[in-house]
Amino acid sequence: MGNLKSLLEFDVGTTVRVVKINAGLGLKQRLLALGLVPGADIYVVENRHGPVRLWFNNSRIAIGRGVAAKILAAEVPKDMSGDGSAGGTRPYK
Amino acid sequence: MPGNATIALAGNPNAGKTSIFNGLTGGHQHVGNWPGVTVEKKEGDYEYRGARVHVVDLPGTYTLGAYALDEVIARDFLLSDEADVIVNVVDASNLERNLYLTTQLLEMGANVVVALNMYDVAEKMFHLEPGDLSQLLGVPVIATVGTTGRGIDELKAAVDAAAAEPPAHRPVRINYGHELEPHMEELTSQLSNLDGLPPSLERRWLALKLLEGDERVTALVRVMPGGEAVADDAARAANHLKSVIGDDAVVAFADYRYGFIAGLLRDVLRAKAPSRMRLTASDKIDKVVTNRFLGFPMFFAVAYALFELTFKLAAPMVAGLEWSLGRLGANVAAWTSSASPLLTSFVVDGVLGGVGSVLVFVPNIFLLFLAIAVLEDSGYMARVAYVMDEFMHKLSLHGRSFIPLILGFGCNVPAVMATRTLETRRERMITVMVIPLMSCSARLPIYVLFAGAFFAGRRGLVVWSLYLLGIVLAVIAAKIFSKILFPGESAHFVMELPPYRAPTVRGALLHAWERSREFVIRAGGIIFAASILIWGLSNLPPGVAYASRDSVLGTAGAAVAPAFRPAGFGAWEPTVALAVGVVAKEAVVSTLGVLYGAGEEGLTAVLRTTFTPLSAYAFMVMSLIYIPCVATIAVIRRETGSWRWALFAAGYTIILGWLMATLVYQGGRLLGLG
Repeated sequence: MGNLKSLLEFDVGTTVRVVKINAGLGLKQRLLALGLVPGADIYVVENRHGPVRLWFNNSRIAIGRGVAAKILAAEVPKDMSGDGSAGGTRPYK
Repeated sequence: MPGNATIALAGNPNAGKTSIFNGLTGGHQHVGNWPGVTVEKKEGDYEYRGARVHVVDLPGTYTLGAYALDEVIARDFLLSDEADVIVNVVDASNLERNLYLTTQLLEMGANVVVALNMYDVAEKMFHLEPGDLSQLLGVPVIATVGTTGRGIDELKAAVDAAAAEPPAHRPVRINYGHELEPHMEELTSQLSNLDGLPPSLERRWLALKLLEGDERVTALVRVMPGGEAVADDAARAANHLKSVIGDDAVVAFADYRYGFIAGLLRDVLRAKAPSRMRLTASDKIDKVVTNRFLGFPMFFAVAYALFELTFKLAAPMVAGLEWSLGRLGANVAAWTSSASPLLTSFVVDGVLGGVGSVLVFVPNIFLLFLAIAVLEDSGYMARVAYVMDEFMHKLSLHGRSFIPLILGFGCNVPAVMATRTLETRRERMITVMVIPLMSCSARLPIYVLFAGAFFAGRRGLVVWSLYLLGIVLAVIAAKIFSKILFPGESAHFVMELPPYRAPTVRGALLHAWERSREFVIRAGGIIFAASILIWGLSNLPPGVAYASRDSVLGTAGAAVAPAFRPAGFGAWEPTVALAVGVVAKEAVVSTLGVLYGAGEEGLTAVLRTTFTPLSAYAFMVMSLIYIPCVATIAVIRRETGSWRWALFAAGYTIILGWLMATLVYQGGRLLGLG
């Protein structure tokens, strides 16, 4: 997979796969409940200014820039894009 | 159904839980608080086949963790066994996420009936049989469309059946893989051997929570005889898992849940569900609405239009109310004309006047909350919070605080009530404390009067400068409050932007009605009492002219007046007018008229002899800042849960008002401005 970057650093319009969430349990649980799991594919709608807008797990979610900075992901090669649902891969399996 | 029953509604925010609640209970609902917290508790009732069913609407949640207050409330209620049936309202067009909560409810062993809501939207997208889903989940699934009422009867029947005969406990069992399962099984059997644990708690669910590091479950287990050992084992296991997985156990559990859901959906939907990002109508609208440059002005246009509309509609209603009360007053006066004039005045001016001062708020509150409900239900409110967040962040607030603050410019009362939707107590408190600095529309006549009398040519500019001052002070206050009074972390901003939907008339009306009723019940008493008090002070000792120098109020005013000399208006008339303004800011202008013995036109002339332009400006500054009206104080008390904060709000605004007015006057004198 490509470089590991935070959600703030990808271009708008890219689909990225979540690798790690560097957050406390409270925030982590919130994100997990929305479908933001390691292995899930996320489409970056807008991340240039203000809260970051994402599409994943059939939902449109806005997260603060601080939160986005904690989410590390890698770009998904175009031909390997999963079906976008959460739980696509289990990196630790 | 055996006699009466209680059911709880659980589900994601934006899943249409409220419309299901409304569909079940009709207007038979009321709002209260969850014990000990300032979180709204909605309850209602309905009758089914002779039995009374009590419905409790749990806060909308995405999961049942131990970290967010809403989740804790929902979870505690579910674990308390108070509810016989849990209706899990699920957005059928978003099963991927909604079922996450469902799996947890099932693992908890709850007696669940799934309301597959927004079924009409889902039908258009794919083919989904409730029966298939029911088979895979092991619980009844009823297709519903909350906004039209479709499926409500079937839902009531399913609830009835589930309450009468809870299914043999077969909660869905997700296989958590070869790393997690051994630990799960070990802990489950250990927990099964513990005495003291309530039998209704599923041991496997407890084991899962222990491995996740759930604080509340851990605490519960530790207290049990033998529980310490189990909890320690769980902690060890969790650490081991962390090193093996490379992440917290919660992540692994979530992953398997979603795997389970994905598998389930593949079976049930047959057609492949769309999971790639597709541009929907909502997205196209969002391109404009959340545009960096268009979003702001667009919101202001919407807000302005809404304000204008509500105040234009409310004005005739208020006028109608005042006319009715006036007629009633005249009739009563005629009826008691034989009695003492003081008694007549008490009944007409005091009691009826007091009632009037409460009712006069209702049209505005009703319409504003109607507008809020429409904005909220349509999904637009979430966009506003998103667009405003960047700016609000600089004030240590969240985008969601923006709406209550803006409302404050219309009327502080619904503004404070609207802070209820803010997620954290910290945000709520800061916002509530800042709202009094939003110059409400009732203060405007004061500015118009004085600006008109002294700054005729530049009237608009003067008024505008006052609003600006209020905003600047609000920003500073927000900063100070967030750093000193309510220090702490700003909550993380994580928000769903739901698809745009058409709000329902019934839902909006019910919401507005409920809020108005709440206002009258909670704040009405205090406003009425304050009103009677002012009446008393103004009309005693008996025989005195209303609020004249000889009345109690006048005497008190004259005693306090010297305090305002540094601010340039140290006479008893402005002081008394300000005092009356504590009950209602609208009354300040009319009171000045009465005290100076002048009507509308004459007042300007009189003011020119008793004020200077500088002292007039100082007086306006005082009016801008000083103490919110009693109604606002009452709702602040309600929303903050204590008198302490309400009195603080009253206190700081009076002091700040005096300070600023004095600063303006003395500063102006120094600069030779008058």
